[in-house]
Amino acid sequence: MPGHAAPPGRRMTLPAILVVIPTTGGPLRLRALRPRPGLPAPAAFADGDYRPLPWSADYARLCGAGGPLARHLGEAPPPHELRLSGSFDAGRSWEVPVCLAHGLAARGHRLVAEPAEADLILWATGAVDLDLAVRPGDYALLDKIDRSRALLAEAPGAALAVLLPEGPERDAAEAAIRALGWDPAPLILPGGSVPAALEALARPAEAAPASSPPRRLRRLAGPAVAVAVAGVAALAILGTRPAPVGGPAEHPATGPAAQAPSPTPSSGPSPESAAEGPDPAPAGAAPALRVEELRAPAGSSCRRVAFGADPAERRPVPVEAGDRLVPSRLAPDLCGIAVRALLPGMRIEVGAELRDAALPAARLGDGAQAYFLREGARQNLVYAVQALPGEGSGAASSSAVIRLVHALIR
Amino acid sequence: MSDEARLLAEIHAARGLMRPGGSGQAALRPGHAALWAHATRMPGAPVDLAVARAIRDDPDTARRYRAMLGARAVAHAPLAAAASDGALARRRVGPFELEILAGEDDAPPLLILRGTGARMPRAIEAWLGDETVRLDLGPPVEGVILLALDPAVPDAALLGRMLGDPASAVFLL
Repeated sequence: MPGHAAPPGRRMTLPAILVVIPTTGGPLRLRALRPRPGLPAPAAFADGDYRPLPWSADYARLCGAGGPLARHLGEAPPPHELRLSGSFDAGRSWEVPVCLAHGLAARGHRLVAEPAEADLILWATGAVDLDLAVRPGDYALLDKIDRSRALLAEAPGAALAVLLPEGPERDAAEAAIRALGWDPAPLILPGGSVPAALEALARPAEAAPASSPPRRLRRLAGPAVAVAVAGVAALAILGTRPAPVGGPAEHPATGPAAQAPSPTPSSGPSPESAAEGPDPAPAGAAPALRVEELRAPAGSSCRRVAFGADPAERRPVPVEAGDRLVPSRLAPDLCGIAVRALLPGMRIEVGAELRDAALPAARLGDGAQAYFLREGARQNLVYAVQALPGEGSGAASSSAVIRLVHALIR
Repeated sequence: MSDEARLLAEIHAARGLMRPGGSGQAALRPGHAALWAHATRMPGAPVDLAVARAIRDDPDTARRYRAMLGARAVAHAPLAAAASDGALARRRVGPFELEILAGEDDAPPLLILRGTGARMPRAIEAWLGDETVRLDLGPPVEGVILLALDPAVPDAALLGRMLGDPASAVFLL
């Protein structure tokens, strides 16, 4: 069992996770990620070799002060010893699984080295940039999946979560993962950034009672593992959804909405209502905040629309239930999203998920904020948008915070 | 051949037989080129077993070999200047400091080599009695070289044991 950075008090409450680093030479297992006091810098080793791996210096920079992980975690993690089951010479696709492992360890997850010990197998690949966004590219996904079959077969009872970066084989790879027939259905993590994937993994156990946990977790019993069962059950649920979503509580566009009145549920409590988040916006207040799809007109393109050569067609997105809008399909003609507060004195706050995936907001003629999607960021995402009372406005005392959640899915 | 010439040849042969070490021992002694090739070999490269045996069995050859190593080493220490009688956790070799970070749980000990010299060593060789081990050192990261003294890697584990013994000699090459 590998070492890890989990706080001792939490070790027994979260699922044990095996992090798989697929390579074109076969999958490697992350055998250990442990802090080593006295180590001058983070270092990566492989079983059977006494020297650090060739990319150990890159790993040190990834974890170092000012590096991507330090920016995400708030501070540079103490120097860790990373140990893999094998070595490889080139490539950067180890960055995503290693960053995920650090994020999971920081959240108290127990990382294990053997498939038989794992409650969840995390299969991830890709390189990251300074913001921990996953760089699109050709990661030989199909080859890596094919070479991972034997390893995955060693843990048939564990849940499976997969991160597939954008690239030429991304869709085919997702189909290949689903074709594995994994039970429960594999969770396809958001492939755009490491934080989004971590949020999806850490999502509260919404709708957990409606699902049965993975087979291995069914064997667990007792209060000490209840949280773990619920957490992985949520993963299983999410794996069956059309798009992995982040909980409302995880969105930056939250806060004062906690004081908003409860919605009128259309059919029982919504999944979001089970999470620790602000109360959804009142149903009657939804018209006060308008979310519209910006679509390219026939014969035009999103590029022409984004550069103002053609006006976008604006289609309002209706409310599905509570504070949830009907998800929008990421069709090629969906160029972006426009949001606008319909009440005077209100200001708009849009979640980072959409802001990160879009060009800087543009103001349309009617005052709406337009977020045109970047070409490399057209992926499943969920964002929240809020209309907040403006500072010093007269609306502050009389208007409730209005909050809507909208998903963009493939 | 005249009688005088034959007599001189016999005297020369007799002196040769009477020389210390005798011709049999001298024949086993590797030449300078062979020793130099052994001293400059890459870690893990094939070893001339005759040379290795001569270094182990013949003190004179061992002395010559160590002199060669010392000449081409970035730094070397024939013995640790230790103020304690226990296993060493830290050791100074010329301008370099070697520190052994103890293993914990199933984590192997780590050797940390720090240096301020302009040139960092590329290999390390340790001697203790007639045992010797040579390992490649990876490239430094921010002036530090790390090695895992992994018990699963025999040479690395042997190096760890040797470095902990004050009587071991260390050559940084």
